[in-house]
Amino acid sequence: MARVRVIPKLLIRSASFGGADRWIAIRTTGFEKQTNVGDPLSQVRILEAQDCDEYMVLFAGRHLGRDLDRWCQLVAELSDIVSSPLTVGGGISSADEARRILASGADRVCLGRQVLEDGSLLGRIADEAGSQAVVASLDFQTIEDVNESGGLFLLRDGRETDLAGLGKVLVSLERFGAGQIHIHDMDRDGSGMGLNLAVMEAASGFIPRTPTIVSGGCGSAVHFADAFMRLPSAGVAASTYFAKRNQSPLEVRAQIANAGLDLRRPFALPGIRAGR
Amino acid sequence: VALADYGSGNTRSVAGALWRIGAEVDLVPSPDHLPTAAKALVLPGVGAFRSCVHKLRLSGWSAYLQGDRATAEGFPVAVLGICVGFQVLARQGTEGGAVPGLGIIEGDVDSFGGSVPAKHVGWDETRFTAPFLGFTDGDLVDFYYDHAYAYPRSTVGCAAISGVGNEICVAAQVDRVWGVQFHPERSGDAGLAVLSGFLRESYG
Repeated sequence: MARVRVIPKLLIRSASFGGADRWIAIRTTGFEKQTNVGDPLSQVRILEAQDCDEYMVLFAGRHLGRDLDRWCQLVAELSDIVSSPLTVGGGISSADEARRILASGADRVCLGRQVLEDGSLLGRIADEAGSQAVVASLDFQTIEDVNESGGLFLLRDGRETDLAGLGKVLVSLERFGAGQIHIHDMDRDGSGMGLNLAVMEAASGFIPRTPTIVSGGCGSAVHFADAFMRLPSAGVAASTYFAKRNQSPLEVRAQIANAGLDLRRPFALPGIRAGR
Repeated sequence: VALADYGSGNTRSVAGALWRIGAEVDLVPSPDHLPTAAKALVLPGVGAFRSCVHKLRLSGWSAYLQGDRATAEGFPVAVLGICVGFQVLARQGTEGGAVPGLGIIEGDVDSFGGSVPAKHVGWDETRFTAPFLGFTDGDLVDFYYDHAYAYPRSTVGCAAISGVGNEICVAAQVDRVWGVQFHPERSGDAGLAVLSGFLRESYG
């Protein structure tokens, strides 16, 4: 089986500095409170030096709209920096926008609210670019935690559903052609209290054939290791955790290795050069 | 190095990795556009087997690659297929019904034999079983994978294996054609080593 995947997630928004629009990385709490973290390119360069398994880069806005050209420019610059797969999401409303982002060097696009409202959009992108290029995002809030009666969750399209209903949504996203599904707990986002593993485990269980990426709540390196113990085939993504200066993928990797989990080994073969 | 740009590939990611190792990259839509000085051709590919084969036919790459590859005179360009760009070199693929491939590699691309999970996604250990672009028999290296179909271990020219029980062939060589199932462009330094090995092989 493939190794566990540690996935830093960058949230990026446009900001005006002295009349010029620039992209800045931010971190959020519960999708609402925003704190500036810094320049996305330098953030990714720092992460790239620390053996990340993949990257997620998300536009923190409803629609890319007129920002699409600038966004694609940023995607191209990020793509040239990273040497692991790059998933780009947020604000994508059409197959054409997805096509532009993939052509700019993203390996995958990630779509959330848009595909809850119209699953066929997911299908159109998957037909054209392949399902490996499409990550569906299921973002939920918890009204009532998992219990005997199934819990109650609020989805981005306003739907309220129990755990079984959450499962149906996941299966439909899989059928529409999602290659992976990002399951994101909006309530725990930025809380640092750890993932809601009961929900994540149950949700991933509905789609055993499709890899999941779980996120929302990682606040310490132990939280990653705990998640991999319960969900060995999932990726674990985090934004706030990696946005803090004193915490790094290296610390997470050390924790995972200490837990005896199966971590990607760095490349070290004598006599083989990576460059020419 | 020429990079086949036939409308089915993460061309930009592959170009980025080639730039990183100092290569000059020509995006080449069809064999007619291939620079005469080109000695190396990278064939990327993502998505469905059927659609990649179809686009290779339309763009003329299919006929070009099926030419006389036995000698450097007959076939001066070394080829590296990546992911589905490797799979299309097979006799046939079974994704969405049996579809003939280019028939360069003696093997059929099929879904994983009943193993769960059905998709092979993420970094995974790869065991080389023969010399391959600078790697040698016995080397153990992690590369990034993202696929649900693959060549069987018995494939002629197989040089590396991976997956559950090491049952799939993830690298192979036939004549001057190399192919890898993993993504060297997104496999850190290990992937760059594969690309460098290919360029050394092509240009000496």
